[in-house]
Amino acid sequence: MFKNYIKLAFKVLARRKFFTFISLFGISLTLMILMTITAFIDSELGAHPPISDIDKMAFINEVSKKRIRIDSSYTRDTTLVNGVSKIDSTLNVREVNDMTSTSSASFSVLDKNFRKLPYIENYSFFSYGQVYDVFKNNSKFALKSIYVDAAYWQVFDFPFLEGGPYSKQSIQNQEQIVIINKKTKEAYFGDLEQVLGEEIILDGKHYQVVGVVDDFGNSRPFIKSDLYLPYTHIPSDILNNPDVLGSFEAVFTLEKSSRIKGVKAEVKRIIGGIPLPADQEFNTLEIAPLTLSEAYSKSLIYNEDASKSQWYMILILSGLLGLFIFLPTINLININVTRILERSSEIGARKAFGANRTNLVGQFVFENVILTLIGGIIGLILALILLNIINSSEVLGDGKLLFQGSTFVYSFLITMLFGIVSGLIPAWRMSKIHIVNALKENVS
Amino acid sequence: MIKHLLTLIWNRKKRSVLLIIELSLAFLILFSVFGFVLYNMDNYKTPLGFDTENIWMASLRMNSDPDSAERVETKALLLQSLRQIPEISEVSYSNPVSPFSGSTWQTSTIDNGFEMDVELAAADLNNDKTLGLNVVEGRWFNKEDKSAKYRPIVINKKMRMAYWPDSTAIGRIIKLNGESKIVGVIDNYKYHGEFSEEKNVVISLFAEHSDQNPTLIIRLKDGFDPTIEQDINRIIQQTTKGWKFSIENLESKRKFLNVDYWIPMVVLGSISGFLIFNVALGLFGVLVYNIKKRRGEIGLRRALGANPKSISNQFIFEILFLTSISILIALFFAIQFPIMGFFDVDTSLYIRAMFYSALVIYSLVLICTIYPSIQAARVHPATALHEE
Amino acid sequence: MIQLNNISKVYKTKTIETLALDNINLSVEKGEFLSIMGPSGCGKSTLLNIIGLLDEPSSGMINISDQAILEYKSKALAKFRNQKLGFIFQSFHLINDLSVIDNVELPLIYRNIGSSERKKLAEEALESVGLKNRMKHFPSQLSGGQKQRVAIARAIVGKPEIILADEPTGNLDSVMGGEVMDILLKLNKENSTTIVMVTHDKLMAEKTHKLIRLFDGSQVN
Repeated sequence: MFKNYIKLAFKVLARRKFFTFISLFGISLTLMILMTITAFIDSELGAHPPISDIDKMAFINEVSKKRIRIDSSYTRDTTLVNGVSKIDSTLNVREVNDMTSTSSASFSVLDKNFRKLPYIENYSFFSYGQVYDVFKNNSKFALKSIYVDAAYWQVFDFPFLEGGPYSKQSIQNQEQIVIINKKTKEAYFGDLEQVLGEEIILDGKHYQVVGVVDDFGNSRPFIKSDLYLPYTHIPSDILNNPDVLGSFEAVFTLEKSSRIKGVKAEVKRIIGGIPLPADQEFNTLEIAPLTLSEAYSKSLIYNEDASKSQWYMILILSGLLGLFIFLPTINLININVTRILERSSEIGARKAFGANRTNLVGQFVFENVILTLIGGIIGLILALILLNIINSSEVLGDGKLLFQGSTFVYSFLITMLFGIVSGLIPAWRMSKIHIVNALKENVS
Repeated sequence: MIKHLLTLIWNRKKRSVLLIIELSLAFLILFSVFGFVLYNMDNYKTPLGFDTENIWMASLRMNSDPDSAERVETKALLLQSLRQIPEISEVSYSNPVSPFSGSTWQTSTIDNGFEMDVELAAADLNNDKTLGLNVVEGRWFNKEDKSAKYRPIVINKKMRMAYWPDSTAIGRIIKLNGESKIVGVIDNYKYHGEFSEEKNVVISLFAEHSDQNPTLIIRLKDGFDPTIEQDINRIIQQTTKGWKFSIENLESKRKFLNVDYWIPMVVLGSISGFLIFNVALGLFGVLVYNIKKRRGEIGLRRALGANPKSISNQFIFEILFLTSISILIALFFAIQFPIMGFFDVDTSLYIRAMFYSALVIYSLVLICTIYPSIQAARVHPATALHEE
Repeated sequence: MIQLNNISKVYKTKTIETLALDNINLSVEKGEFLSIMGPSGCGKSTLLNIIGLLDEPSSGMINISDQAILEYKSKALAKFRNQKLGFIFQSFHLINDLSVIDNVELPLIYRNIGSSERKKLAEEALESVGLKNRMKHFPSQLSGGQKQRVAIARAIVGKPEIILADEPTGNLDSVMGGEVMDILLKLNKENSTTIVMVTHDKLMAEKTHKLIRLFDGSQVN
């Protein structure tokens, strides 16, 4: 039976070239785009080095100080009471936030308050640094820098090409050392094979290269940098600045991803006890640890509550994706309805010779699934080509899109769903046609 | 005749439902993409208002040295030393709210019953020449402004047209961080980037003794040698003794910022292009099949005296009628955007987006109908009726 | 073999009712070759469809092989058709996308018979209609007479007890029609298959055992 279905499916496809082409075109391009989008999301938010532990990570990337004052106002309404007009006044008391200042955290606020959070396996504080202009062989490179501590290299599992992370000791000693990425190595040292121990000159200061990290797909700024410098090179007046706002961010590795609630609650408790600078009018401090996807969503769709941002983000994304899949599906259903109606003589003959409804629905769905599978394979090939083009054209900067097995599995599942849904409706409709009517359609 | 065709369409309505859903969705997708692209392109079309070719910029981070007198001196010295370089035609300072810096300083004020939302920037006396700003009314800052009674400000034309459309703005005094007097109007100042919407901009004089980190703006002469950058870098380093900075080319920064707009437009454009093409192919397939299916009906019409032209007209009319219904359904949803005011954009943008979407859908449908309708016209009455 | 009692068929639309069959009583013995004749629209095809379980009567009773098949559900009906009945249509209804042999195998597929067995039976059936050499061809490559012979092979491949033929020679010229008729007669004689045939052609009808005439949905004798 199955073999027969397959045989027939291929014969039908081969003989109806135009319909097959239209269907394959739709299926394969839809899947190509789906796979590329999945690959993009996976590259940015998926668990790959250097953020293999992403599910367990929480970030403090934003600190807000606010002025919240109590605003009271009267609302007056004229109402009729027992036929007499009376003035009814209501006192409204509400909190008004009339001034907000938001930035990254200062080193001091992190250092003093967030070194002993519960449920934490590891944590790191880091700061985005300046862009260094470096001149070499008559050309200029602008190198992004990030200042990190020793734990940074444990929290994030960077793929090292040469050397390795620096130790706590070297950081404390303010050693003039730097870890660079592959791009910087190639730009600065050219064809030199080994660059460990070589020096890079930044604004006249010499730094010794102790490690080179390989390229990776993710473009999140807290891991993507050209230069990784020990944070102790930041001037002490900045590190000691008592304000809560600064240039630092924090990352925490939780024992388990479910601990995020506990950590959020603990942070909320702690910030209640943090004094705000007396010379300013701010009276409220807001710091909330966020997961990467919460932080990512918040940066795109702003909402004070990051979990809401994430929720909106999921809604919008699935809505767009739904619409994007819906249109080709309807198109395919429309084509299939036409294609199947064209075969009413065949349906009639099959029914007359003993095919029941299940047989017929099965046959047509199967045909469609075969078609989607072929489309899926073409889509996969197209997606791989497209990813290659995107990666080599560097439209996304040095961000490289990865193609993972999981991307393929998700897309495969979507393909199957696509095939079954777009085959089932027309097949069902067709199987309802009365035999006598099906046989009347004169197509021999 | 039309009534006859409408009856025919009505009787076939069940078969057309999928087609209508498809066309409506296609219209809605086109509408959103056109809306997005037109919004961006409208912004893109307004001039930047300043030059980007031959201009370099460096935002300087001053030492946290409390001695402001020394800072003022260093800043002046830096300008002097840079002017010595023959390739440089002009240098000046602005505050951190400079072209493409990503910084904004917004404020709103109520002045004489006007509620003004403005963005503030600050620049020095030579900024107009360095950036190539075009002063259309009044003048740019001059030396006397430093000691003027009212704080002098230059505004952009957008703001002038918004608040004083019928009278002059020059000489007006508005309350904006103290009383400020408008001395000049420049035509555009899209300092956020080429694709950003133009805002109401107020530029004040950037004082030499300001605590804000200065942005150095350098204009180079045509055909300069790019390696001069290294010399400039060295001069800044030596003069400032450790201020942090990075030199950026305004032209490359412009292109870099634009990529963030081009990518989504190209991605959305190609995805919707693909979806629409897909719909067109499907439509074509279904139409070709329909003609095949209706050979009998067509043959009969021909036998009853319809000429080939009227047959293909009938067919095209049917399809256009279905398309119009689909577009009307989609318009019902699309029109909610301007009515509910989901986005803060001009209604004319929505209307243009609707117009273009309808245009694309109609032309696409027409193209898909040409071949099948020619086929329909070619049906020979005798053979068609015989088959039936 | 086939027993029809008081069969009526009414087609209803919103405005009118059409009586397609009016109180038909009919019985066909095993091995009998019955032909039904009548002018266009007299209801003869409707009658054949009802005998073939493709359509339901509005009232009346049908017994085939002593089974009261009107009580069957659609799935059981499909199975019954598959095992007991074979169909031949005026316009052949071959599946264009399948080769001749695949077309003939069709009824066996729904019996879940293995592929080698199916092939053997289909070859035998094709041999008996003299088309074994055309097995790999597609229907579009055959003449009308050949197509109808393939359709006969398909009808007999499952060795049904009853064959229902709806104007099997209607689309064929007299030579081809004669060939098809000869095959049916031979089938009836050698395998004693019961055959019910609707026809326009008096010459064909006269070759069968029994002839009934329909006029406006009623049986006339």
